[in-house]
Amino acid sequence: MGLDMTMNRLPAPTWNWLHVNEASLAGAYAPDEGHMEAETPETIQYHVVKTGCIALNDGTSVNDSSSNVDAEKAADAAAGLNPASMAAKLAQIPGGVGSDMEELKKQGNFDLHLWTIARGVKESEPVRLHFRYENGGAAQNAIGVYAQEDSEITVVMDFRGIDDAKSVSKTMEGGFAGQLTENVKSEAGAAKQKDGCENNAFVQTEETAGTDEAAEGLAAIQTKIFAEKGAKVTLVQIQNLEDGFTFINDVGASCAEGAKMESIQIVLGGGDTYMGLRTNLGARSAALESKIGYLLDHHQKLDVNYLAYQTGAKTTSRMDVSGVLRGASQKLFRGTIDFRKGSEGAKGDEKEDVLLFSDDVVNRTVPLILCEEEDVEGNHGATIGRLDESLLFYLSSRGIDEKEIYEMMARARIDAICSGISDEKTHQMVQEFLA
Amino acid sequence: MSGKLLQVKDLSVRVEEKEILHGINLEIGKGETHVLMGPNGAGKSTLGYALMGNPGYVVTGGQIVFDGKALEEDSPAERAKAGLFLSFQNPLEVPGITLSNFIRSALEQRTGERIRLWDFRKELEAKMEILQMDKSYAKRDLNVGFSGGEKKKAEILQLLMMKPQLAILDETDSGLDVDAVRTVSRGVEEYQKDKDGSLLIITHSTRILESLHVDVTHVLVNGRIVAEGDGSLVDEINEHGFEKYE
Amino acid sequence: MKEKTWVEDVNRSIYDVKNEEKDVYRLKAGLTPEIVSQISDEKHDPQWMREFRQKSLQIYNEIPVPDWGPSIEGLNMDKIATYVRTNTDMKASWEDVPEDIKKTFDLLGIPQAEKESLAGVGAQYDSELVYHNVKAEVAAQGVVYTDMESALTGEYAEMVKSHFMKLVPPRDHKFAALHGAVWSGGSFVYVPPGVKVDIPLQSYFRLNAPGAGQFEHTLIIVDEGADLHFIEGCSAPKYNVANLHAGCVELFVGENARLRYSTIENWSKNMYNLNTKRARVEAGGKIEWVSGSFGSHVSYLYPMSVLAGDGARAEFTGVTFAGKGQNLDTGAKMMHLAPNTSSYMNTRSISKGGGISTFRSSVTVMPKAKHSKSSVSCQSLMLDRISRSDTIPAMDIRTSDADIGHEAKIGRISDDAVFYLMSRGIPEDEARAMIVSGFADNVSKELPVEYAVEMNNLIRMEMKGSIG
Repeated sequence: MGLDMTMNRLPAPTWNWLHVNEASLAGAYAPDEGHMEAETPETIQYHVVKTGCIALNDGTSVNDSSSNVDAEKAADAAAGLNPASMAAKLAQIPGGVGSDMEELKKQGNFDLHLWTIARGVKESEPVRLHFRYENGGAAQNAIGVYAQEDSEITVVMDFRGIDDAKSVSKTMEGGFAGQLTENVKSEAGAAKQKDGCENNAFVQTEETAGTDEAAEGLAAIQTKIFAEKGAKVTLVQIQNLEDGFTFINDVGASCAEGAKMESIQIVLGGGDTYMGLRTNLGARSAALESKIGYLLDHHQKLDVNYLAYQTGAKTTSRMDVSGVLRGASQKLFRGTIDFRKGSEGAKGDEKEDVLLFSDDVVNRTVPLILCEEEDVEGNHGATIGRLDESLLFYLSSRGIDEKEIYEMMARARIDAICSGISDEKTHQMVQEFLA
Repeated sequence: MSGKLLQVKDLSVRVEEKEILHGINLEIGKGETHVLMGPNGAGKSTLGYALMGNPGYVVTGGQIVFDGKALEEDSPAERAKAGLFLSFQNPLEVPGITLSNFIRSALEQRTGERIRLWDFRKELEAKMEILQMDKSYAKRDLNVGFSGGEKKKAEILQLLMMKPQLAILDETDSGLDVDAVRTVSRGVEEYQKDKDGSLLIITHSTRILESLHVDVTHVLVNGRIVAEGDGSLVDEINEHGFEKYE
Repeated sequence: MKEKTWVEDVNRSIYDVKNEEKDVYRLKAGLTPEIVSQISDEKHDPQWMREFRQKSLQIYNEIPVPDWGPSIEGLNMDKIATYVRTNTDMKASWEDVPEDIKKTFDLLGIPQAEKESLAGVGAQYDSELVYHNVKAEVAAQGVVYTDMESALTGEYAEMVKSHFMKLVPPRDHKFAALHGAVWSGGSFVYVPPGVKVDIPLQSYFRLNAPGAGQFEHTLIIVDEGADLHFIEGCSAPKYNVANLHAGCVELFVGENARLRYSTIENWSKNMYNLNTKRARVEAGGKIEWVSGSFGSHVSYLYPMSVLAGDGARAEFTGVTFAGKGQNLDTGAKMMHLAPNTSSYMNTRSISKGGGISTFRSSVTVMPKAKHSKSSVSCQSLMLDRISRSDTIPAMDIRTSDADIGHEAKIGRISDDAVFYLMSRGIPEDEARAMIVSGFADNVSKELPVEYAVEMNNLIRMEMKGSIG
């Protein structure tokens, strides 16, 4: 019944003995939809698109094809902008985890929860999505974000266990959240008329049936993003699950001319986390800026696959990865800058900075640059290990003990990644998790 | 005991395989201002690092006694807590930690007590005012993207906040324009009068010394102190250079 | 406006001097236990080697071809005669070497190097050593430099047996297994403790007969505190039938010993070069690899350094130039097993005329390798937009007490640099060639001067060969 998944495939494989070419997960099974609470600003529309309504106009099925530009165009031309056509377009965008994610989605009926922002609208208040996972549960969600021309939208997601969430929600001003939740419902109602698909409000709040045989929880989420010409989408994801969870986080994004995708992903918890982010920079001057910060401990594992797929001229990509490994934690970061034909004048930069606190950790870093275009500039750099000795001396000369310096530097890494988040509430949430 | 704050006796220091300092003797009393001059490569910065306990600078002989206690075995953090401060020639950039948070943590580490945010901010702003630093720097990551002059000011700001008994200023004036040197000097004066602080100023120029009263001048050449005198020695070297000592 | 210089492939005819085939003895193409056994007969293998070859053949038949690198579909093992022997026997001095072989060497520029500071030459002509001469003073120091066949049965037979394919076991990969089964020729060097060989030992390998594979084995043991520089140069004439080179180099660097192993590879452009090189370094020892890859159709080449003893060090300096029709997958592997070990990698790759160059590397730091350091720097240059350049490094770090740095850059020749040189009166094609030579100077700086000159000429020819 479970699915044996192969995920996070390295775009150009290397020696098998390194065990970095892909990740595998046996018996993945997640038939339920995950519990989600949403807060949506007035300016942003929310729709639920039933799975059956994401039929593509030409009858083709969703695939993981890497050359999806034509398909995108076709989908574009065939439909005006209604939620179903947007969903169809999003379905064409491959994610970083890979095609097995699409297989996993077949284990249940997962409607696409779609947020769209109209042309020219710039909203600084984020859409907030709170995901709460039942211990031992097996849940998935499918999220879509569609930004029309010259719009700006921010989506902040946080992932927590349900017990943890209860305690945290006490500290939040309940009234505010409630009001926005209602707002979401009315938006959902409006969407119902538009897309003609039956709308099941947003999320079932009743408990998902916990199966005894699943000793650990599996949570999976797929987020598809499309940024039209000149639009900007910021995706913030903060994961603070308990160690018992296996978490699969798949993101696929595509940017039109001059559009920008920004992602900030912070991993503070979870047992085994698989994270894939693939961004198509298929049109002129499209840009990706992505950041990951992680603090891992115990036996936590983090497996990441980032891909900037640059086919457009003067596209730019940037990946900034920074983290700390403690205990017996393990991390594998794959980051690929893929300069394809047509990417003249493109730039790509990736950087990873890892602090290792223990001798039981395993850190693997695989930063690829693939290039078939002459006029490009690609750089990657990595520093791994203990703290730089001169930095250690500088800080300790101010009277701070070595142990404390390491603590400070661990937090500093997350803070530095967070500094890219403009939303104050999100900052507070991260600080709470760190405390 | 002579009541000397710092006594350096026969200090020899090795960096990697090479001995840089050969038997340095130096005494600094409370409230005194000493100047250490010397040509490039004489070992001036090495002395500063060795006093502060940089692990790359190995003491192969002699003693460092600070406030009546031998320091050689202490970590840099312990030396800082004992009241030593080194202003770095090239301060390091520390992303993710703001200047303000950094100074506060350092102070809290030293005293082991929480510092009231209000009092701290007020004092910090006052000191920044003296150094003509824009308040926004407090919220910026420590030294990250600071210009050379801003980095030096940030060092002096830390000095003023931490109020050590002895401050070693390593080439604090190098690479600064005239105005910046004046501002930094004002900060150093403030430190002296605030707590009767002692100073060891490492320099190969003399600009920072113009507005300070110098008690003792030491001349370091090829890892040895070759001459000592009062403040007038500064002027003499200013005029004739180090040639006669080399 | 960007000026592009389209440069045709270098005219290789000067390299492609084919001797008349004088194969007195040529094995039937294809690979069976009988063929391997025939090789053993011919070589007068000791019993253990007979068994070793058969076992390797078994492994060869079990292991699949690599699934991660450039395609080797053009290779058909059944068509490759695995063993070719010419009619020249061991020769004692240069004068005795047959004229036609000399002529080829002449055209390859080899005698120049010979004249300079040649210590001993083990130039391999097809699969046999045709020329072998160890300079008297080197032998007097107790240094053993001989061909592998004699080493198998000679005074150092036990030493050979205890080291042969211990570092690169036949199980390592399919072509290591193949090598174990059919290896032939190569050099054995032993430098006794404390001996510093101050002139480099050199050997030349080349392939000659059509469809011939070459499987030479190099085994070098540098004992405690000893010091050696070994230079390996390769080139081969061009034929239409796919050619395979699956050599194996095993280097043992003793405590506090140092070995520099330099290679300029310039195989003809129909060659499949699936070579395996590996060094094991004991406490305080150092291996220095200097590697230039210019020739072959497909290359898989990643010298590996196993840092087995406390404080062992490895350096790898490489340049790869992939032109038209070439797919060169090169790099290095560093394996830190002991404390205080350090590794350093500095590579440059150049892609031109539709060539593909891939830099592939690994740095592995095991938990015991406390206080280890590693630094990797790789730079790639794209000379046009029909070529390809990939960078595939991997790091696996398992101790907190490590200092690992990695940087990579990919880009093109800066128009400003070309303009600057042209403004000083240098023609554009010359300016570009100069810039590319400069780009590869990490390697040329490390080579003896005559090799550096040869390498720069090679780059010049690749850059502007058929123009003018």
